[in-house]
Amino acid sequence: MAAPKVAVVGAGVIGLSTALCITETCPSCSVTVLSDQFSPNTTSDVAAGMLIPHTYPGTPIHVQKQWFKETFTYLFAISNSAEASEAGIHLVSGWQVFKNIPKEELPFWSDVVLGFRPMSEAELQKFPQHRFGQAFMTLKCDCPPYLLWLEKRLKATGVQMYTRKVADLWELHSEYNVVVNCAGIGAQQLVGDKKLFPVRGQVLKVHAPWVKNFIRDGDGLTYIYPGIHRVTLGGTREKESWSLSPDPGTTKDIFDRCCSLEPSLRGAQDIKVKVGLRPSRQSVRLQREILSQGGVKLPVVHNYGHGAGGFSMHRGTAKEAARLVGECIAALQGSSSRAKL
Amino acid sequence: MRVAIIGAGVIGLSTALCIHEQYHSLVPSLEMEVYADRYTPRTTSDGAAGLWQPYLSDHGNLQETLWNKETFDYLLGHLGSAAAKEMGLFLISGYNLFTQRVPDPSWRNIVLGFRNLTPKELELFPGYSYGWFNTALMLECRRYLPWLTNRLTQRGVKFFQKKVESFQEMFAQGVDVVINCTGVRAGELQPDPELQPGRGQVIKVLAPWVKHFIITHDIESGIYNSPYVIPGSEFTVLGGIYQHGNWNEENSAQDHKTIWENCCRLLPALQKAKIVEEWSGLRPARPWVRLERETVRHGQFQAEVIHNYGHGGFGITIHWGCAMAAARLFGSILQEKKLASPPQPRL
Repeated sequence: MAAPKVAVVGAGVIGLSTALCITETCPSCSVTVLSDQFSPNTTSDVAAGMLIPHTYPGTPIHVQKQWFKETFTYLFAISNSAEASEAGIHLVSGWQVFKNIPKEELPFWSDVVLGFRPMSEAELQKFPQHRFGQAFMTLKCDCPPYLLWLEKRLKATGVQMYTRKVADLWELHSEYNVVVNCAGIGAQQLVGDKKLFPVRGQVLKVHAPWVKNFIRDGDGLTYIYPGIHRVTLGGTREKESWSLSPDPGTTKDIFDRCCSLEPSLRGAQDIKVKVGLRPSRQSVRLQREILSQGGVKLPVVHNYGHGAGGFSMHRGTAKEAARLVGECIAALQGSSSRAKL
Repeated sequence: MRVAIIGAGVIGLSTALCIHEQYHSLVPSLEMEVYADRYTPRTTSDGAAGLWQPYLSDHGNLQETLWNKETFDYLLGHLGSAAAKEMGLFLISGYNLFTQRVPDPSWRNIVLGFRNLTPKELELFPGYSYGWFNTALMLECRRYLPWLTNRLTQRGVKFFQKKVESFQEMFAQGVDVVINCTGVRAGELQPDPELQPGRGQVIKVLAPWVKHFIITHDIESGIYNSPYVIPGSEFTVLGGIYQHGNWNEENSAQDHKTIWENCCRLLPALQKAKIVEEWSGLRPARPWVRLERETVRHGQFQAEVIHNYGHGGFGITIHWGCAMAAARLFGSILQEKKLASPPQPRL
């Protein structure tokens, strides 16, 4: 087949990075990104973009580790290049503190991040309510810069991007050979996946440029992540809540929790409140599917359901999705050459 | 009892505050004045990035290591307070990089979380084969000096814009004790061949994505003659110049080139940073800090000078320990003059 036409649905970190991987593995493909939202209005734009993985109960650990390692290595190289500031990628060090000793002392990603070690007694003194902690250095992907950088790279390779609300993947069957579903939380409606559910997160983005280290409570609910211009304070994990409206009571609660971890935040200025719906699932849906109607087939590659781990896993899952797209195209070329016989 | 502090950099203002805090209630007649020809933001302290970090070796000078520790612990104690932001005080982590293995520094147990760099981390810095990572403190003098000034003003300390030409000038006015915190220009008040300028130049840029300090070391070139990058609350300071004996406070184009090229090689992302300011200053370098009393004959009277200068490139790092030591010297002066009760139990 001449340039295979691939449509990527979704323009968050997963959609854009998947589109980019497809252009890398299949240079002859014509890739188009379709989404009803682009940066700065995607779920990714709300996220702090910290590379601290979320563990998926339904995915083997060695697979998650591979995805994380690929993502970390890819971003590490960018952070060390002249493009770092444009791409919004930077290294940040800090502490994860626990009120109760965690079950597993060494998370699966401890040897991927840098300098992972238990906190010393002197370091823990800064956190009187916490009994145990881990210090390490990881990467942060500031969004929107990262998405804008991905968009710029996509445009440079000739990828077209259109604002379009896709109501049904099948509507694309006549224009495209392969469809990649990176619709995030939108996949619930788009493909009717009942295993996908939102986990609402509210965050504050504040001006506090003296905060140079991250602090995260091991319970995952309270965190302070310094970005390039703003510090993200979080958060909440509200399962099955679809509300995108900021809640003032929650804002105060987040601010108080973060100030108890880092008192200097009381002086933070210009507090902006954001809400995102993590597209959560027991495991990331990363698989091929063939849709067919009336003898016509449409290969689909799903890459959604990253929940709280989108940034941490994006490059690894994007590469796998691109590989699956390659398989779809090979299958199409195989069957079309068979049809020619 | 009139006390005059000469010099309004970090040493002068902190010594003033330390003495006033400890003695004003014990000495009701205490009147304190500060004299300086340069105030913040035009002091040497204002140009410094503000990173707490002593030199690599204390050359056996345990006293200075103790003063450094006292300063670190004092500042650490203030971290959680409401004043921290106004003081320009915050935690910061970062790297020290070497081209060869070196012994641990005198301050390894003073800072937080001191460790060696892992091989993967060293990959970030080609050319450097060894290094440390630790968490230390930043104290930005552009905020700290105004904060000290406010505390002193609230306490009724008076400030004078004046270049003092001699200690005698102060005593003739009726000052009883002079605290000499004149930094690099102390030699103008009393010749001191040990005191030399250690000229430095820095470029201030906007690079808010840099969250760690990076100090490189070249054992041959000596301290601060190797590139460093120190992110502050507003700007990132790029430096790496130390010229012993150079009194020139003008920016040098050659030094600019050296700093810029070396720092961009160290951190390629800096190439996109916007340059905001350039500054040169003279570190008051001395083999060791001069912190001692001197009794000066003034007619038939004895007047006292407490010298507190010569802190080189570690003034912010050592300031509070020295201020406390100067305050103890002041206390002994008071005792001799029988102006204060016996010494309070103090550290």
